[in-house]
Amino acid sequence: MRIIAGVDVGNSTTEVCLAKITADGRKTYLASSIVKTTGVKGTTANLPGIINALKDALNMAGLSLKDLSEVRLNEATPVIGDLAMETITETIITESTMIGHNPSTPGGLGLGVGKTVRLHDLNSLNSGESVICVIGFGTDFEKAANIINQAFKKNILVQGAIVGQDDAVLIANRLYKKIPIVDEVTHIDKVPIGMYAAVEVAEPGKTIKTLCNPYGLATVFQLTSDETKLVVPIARALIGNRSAVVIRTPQGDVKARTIPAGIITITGTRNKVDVDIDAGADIVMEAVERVQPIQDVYGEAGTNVGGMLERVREVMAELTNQSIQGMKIQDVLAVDTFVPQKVQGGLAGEFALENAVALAAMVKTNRLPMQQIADSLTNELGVKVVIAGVEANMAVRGALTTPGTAKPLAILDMGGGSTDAAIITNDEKISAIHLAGAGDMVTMLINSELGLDNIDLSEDIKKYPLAKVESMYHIRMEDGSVKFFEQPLPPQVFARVIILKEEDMIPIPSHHPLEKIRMVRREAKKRVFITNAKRALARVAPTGNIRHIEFVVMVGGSALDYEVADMIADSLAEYGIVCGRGNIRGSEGPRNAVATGLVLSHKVSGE
Amino acid sequence: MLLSSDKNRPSVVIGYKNYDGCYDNLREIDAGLEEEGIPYMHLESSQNDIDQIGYESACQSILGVGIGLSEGEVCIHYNRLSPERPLFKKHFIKNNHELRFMGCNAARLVKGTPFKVSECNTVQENTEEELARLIGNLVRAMINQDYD
Repeated sequence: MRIIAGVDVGNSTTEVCLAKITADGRKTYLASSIVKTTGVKGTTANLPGIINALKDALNMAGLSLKDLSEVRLNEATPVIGDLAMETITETIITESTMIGHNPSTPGGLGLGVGKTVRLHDLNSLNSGESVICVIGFGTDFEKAANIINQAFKKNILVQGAIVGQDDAVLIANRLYKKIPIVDEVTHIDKVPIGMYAAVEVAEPGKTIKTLCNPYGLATVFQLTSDETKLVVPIARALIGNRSAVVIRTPQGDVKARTIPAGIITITGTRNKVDVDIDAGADIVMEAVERVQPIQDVYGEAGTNVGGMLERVREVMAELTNQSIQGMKIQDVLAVDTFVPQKVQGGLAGEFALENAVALAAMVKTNRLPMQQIADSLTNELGVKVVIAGVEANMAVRGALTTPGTAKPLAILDMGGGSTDAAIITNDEKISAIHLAGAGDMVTMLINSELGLDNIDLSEDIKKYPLAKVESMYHIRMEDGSVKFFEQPLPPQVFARVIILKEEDMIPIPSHHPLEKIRMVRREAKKRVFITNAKRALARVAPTGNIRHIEFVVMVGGSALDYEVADMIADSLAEYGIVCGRGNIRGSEGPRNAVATGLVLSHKVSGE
Repeated sequence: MLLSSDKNRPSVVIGYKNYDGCYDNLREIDAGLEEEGIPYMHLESSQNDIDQIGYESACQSILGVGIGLSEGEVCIHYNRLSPERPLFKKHFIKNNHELRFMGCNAARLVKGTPFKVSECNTVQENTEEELARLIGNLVRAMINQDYD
């Protein structure tokens, strides 16, 4: 009777499957365990994690390290993925300035046009002049209103106002005439004085009509048709706002520029293609399919994508102690997305959504010094350690312990850095593939499309459901159901969209409504995982046709995601295949596939 | 300008102690409410504890929201909270911004929009309880890190 342990060292987790094997070859599973992988996969830094996982499993079975007869380690396939984003448009406003931050409480109503003048210079003007009053920080709202009222009396035509503090409504309420007032302009000192400006405020719940229309701008500033072409980016950036200010400076010039995002060169065995990233994700992916199988991918020096492709090579070379020349990038995934960029020339920190392409790349190599790890482990534990075989083989065998499965079976393993697939055919042939683009890419898309600039928060949004805090005592979940609390909720979450993370409520600092955040989360998952599920299965399917795979089992971390597994099963339904989350040994869910396969392979070899 | 003495008008009630300079402080709170577009009314209070002043005001308010103001202390209260646990409570010296924020946030409580956070503080002064909970979460998170 021997106690053996299958140990699977993954990128994120190290898993153990512990089993007892009697003399007649019968096996009984004793325990499973999982810990976070220590160090980078494939290095001796993994040892502490492996030992902890072994101890955990042995404890659960009421055994100790000295009872262990053999440890079977996976032959880990080193796969490294990385990501980069290239913006392909940029809104630059040079000379001309605009204020489009859409403050929550603008004052007054209507459209006002005039020359910008400081509040304190107002009463030294002549009657009949049309002006826009600029009110800096530190001015009391009552004083400001009095000065403007005095100016009204002198027939100085104050047509609108721009204020630094949050005082627009206060001032508007005290004026004899109704004029549009925009406030909360943090950089009020940067507003150019003596220039022609337009201020527009719409009714609550409505949006402006003039300043977001290029012809409206042309009317207000008496532009020629050529000049009107140049103001399109301003108009575009102000669409949907309740208030706005546009100031025309003499050399007023606005450009929407297409930034050359760079070319990537995809080399295959038969041909080579250069693709412009500006052309968008669909064109890039078409090129990727045309050049299959990919031998390598290069980017242009000085571009984000070029830098990332080199970085991925460097990291792999260092990890496996090989030369960088031997490192080949074998897959990329491009996804169209948006990224909020600060509008240069905006005076109140405005953001505009710019088109971007996100690119994931994957590099894989054959050799990982697993023997080093095996030897260190033997030294440390005094137990025989065997490197038991290729990961894909083990994974597939483990997956087959899911009740209801049979060959031909494919597994989909969606991790953080790569999406992996393997298939076992009826005649026991196993092939595997690794693709770029997985959980990390989903997180990056959520981060940029919501403008969060916070990867940890985006990761939480990806993993956990949302809710809206409607009162001090209740929240409304995504499906509309309500959860009530006996203790009042903390003020930080009041009226906010929150993430329900285990016991905590994490407020999301942006102003997006819940539906928008939910949509971004789901679309990001679809664009990465569904695309890759189909790509991966098509590549491993013996005939290239997904329909000829009868069973697909999803394993690994992302298979645990509450939405992803369902989305993929749904999208594969049209192919008439059985697809679902794995249930290893009928008890482990999608986890422990490789570790279980390692134990199974021992039995098979009859050792 | 929007002082309403009509007790039937739905408004935030600002309860205050009469002290030197209280009208200047009231003006700042009023400004916060007016900017957010919510009506308010003043009520001189006979209570001495700031929590009590705030709670009494909240109970007088048809909207259920009250502000308490005494020399050096201001709070926002809600008739749905326990009297001894106001929503916000701050000490102030001559800080106009804090008072303006209080008015603004009382209005936002009525409107159901997220609170404004002042530049120098977090939304709520952390009690020892809060701090212990935060640290506990941090340590727990470090030990059991999420599995991917």
